[in-house]
Amino acid sequence: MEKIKLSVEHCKGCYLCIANCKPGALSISKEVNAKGYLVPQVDQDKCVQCGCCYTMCPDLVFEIF
Amino acid sequence: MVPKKAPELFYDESRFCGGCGHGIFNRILAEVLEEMDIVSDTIICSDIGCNHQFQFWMNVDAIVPPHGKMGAAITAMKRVRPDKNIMTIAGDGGAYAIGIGETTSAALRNENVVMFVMNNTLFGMTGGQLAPTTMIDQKVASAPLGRTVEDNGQNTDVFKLMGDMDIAYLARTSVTSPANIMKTKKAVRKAIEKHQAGKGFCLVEVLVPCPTNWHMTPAKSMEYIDEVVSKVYELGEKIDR
Repeated sequence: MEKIKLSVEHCKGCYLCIANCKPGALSISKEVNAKGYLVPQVDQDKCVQCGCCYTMCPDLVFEIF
Repeated sequence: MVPKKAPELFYDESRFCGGCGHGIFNRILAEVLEEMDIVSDTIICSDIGCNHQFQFWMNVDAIVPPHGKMGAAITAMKRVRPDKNIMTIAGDGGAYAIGIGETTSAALRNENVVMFVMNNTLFGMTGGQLAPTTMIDQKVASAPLGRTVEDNGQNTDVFKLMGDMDIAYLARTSVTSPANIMKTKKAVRKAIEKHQAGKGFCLVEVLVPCPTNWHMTPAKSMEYIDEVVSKVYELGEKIDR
């Protein structure tokens, strides 16, 4: 089940989401977006939908279902 | 679990640098405006600087006065349109350097307006020069050896400046963690509610990171605020009337 959706095209690579992801569901992927940043990726199984990534992200990348 | 989705009044992506605290604050304010259902009854005044870029992604009525003149502009806006919620998003440079006269004058008159001041301890848009809020010993572009009282004067703390004034609300928060962001959101809502109740001048200062000009990673910038900046600029509510 998809718990969280990432609009990685908005990402500017600050990784505040990863620094604040307590379950360790987020990590840096090898995918580069159009802005040239390595974007985060999510392990849907580890995600507990706490919303910390959404709360910390300055660029509205995250949507929690 | 409440679904979390970006507020609808965002129509574009942000123009701030990666990890910038302005983006976080813009979302906090947008959430509060939508939760209170006052988006169409709000006019936001911005300053010249990084902060004015909220207009390029938030679909809300906005105006930009000459640099630093937000205190005078929002006073006029409130008097002309008393039915509207009048607030400003300003930077520490605009509010406490160029606009210190307008800011303190509006506070001394206890005008019924709201000021949100983003304090990143320097002039962000122009390249990280010394601002009134730059801390003693902090190294910035125009004080590469660090700020000293002898060369640059004492730093400005709005709690010391306005702590004894007859205003409605004065608080300082930060955006360094989900917990602090929730506190910021509560302070923003409280200030707007006091404004709607006609209590008077409300100022919420938010400690935000500037990773670009601090030459730190965004995560390190947040630690810097927690460990250094918030020790100099005390968090909390100074005035709550």
